[in-house]
Amino acid sequence: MKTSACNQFQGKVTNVKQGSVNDEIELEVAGGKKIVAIITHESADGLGLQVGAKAFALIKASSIIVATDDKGTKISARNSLNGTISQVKSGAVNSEVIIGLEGGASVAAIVTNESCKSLGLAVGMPATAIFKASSVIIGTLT
Amino acid sequence: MRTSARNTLKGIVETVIEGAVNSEITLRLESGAAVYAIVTIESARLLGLVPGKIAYALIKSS
Repeated sequence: MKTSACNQFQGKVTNVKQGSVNDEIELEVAGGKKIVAIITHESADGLGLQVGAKAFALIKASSIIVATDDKGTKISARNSLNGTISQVKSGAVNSEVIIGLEGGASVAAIVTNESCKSLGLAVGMPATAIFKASSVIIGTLT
Repeated sequence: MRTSARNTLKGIVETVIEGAVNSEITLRLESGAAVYAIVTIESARLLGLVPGKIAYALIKSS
């Protein structure tokens, strides 16, 4: 399936926590990294999501927050992927920042030019891609 | 921690309502306004979010 969501991670469901309205789905993707998604119980049921099922996670680049220097700070966003900035493409208002992860995958984030400047985002810099579990869309191929 | 989110609002946690999977956090800002956030229960516990705790709401401009 082709979508406009920049970030797509193939993986396997490792945990499903059922709620009354929403379910929490944990997906193990390349490099042993875990991605957590919050989706409606209806969706989880409809997709047949259970432990061991193959699925993929889609995250829009505009949902990603880029963080640098995260020593000792805790954040409520359930997903944070550490890597190194491999590309910074500036636009008129926003910049696209690509963070290369261990294992070869990469995450694309859209940040404002102002943020790019104030964080001094540059190629080669360590950075973390942070996104909320509610920003993750889960899909299956069947 | 420095993040790309353009809006950082400092406040004090006023209420934490725990659901089955998510928790609703009310953050009271210095201005008197309230910000409401939905976070996973796991995150609320990891951050030790309880009434009276200082916390920050991060909101992307896009």
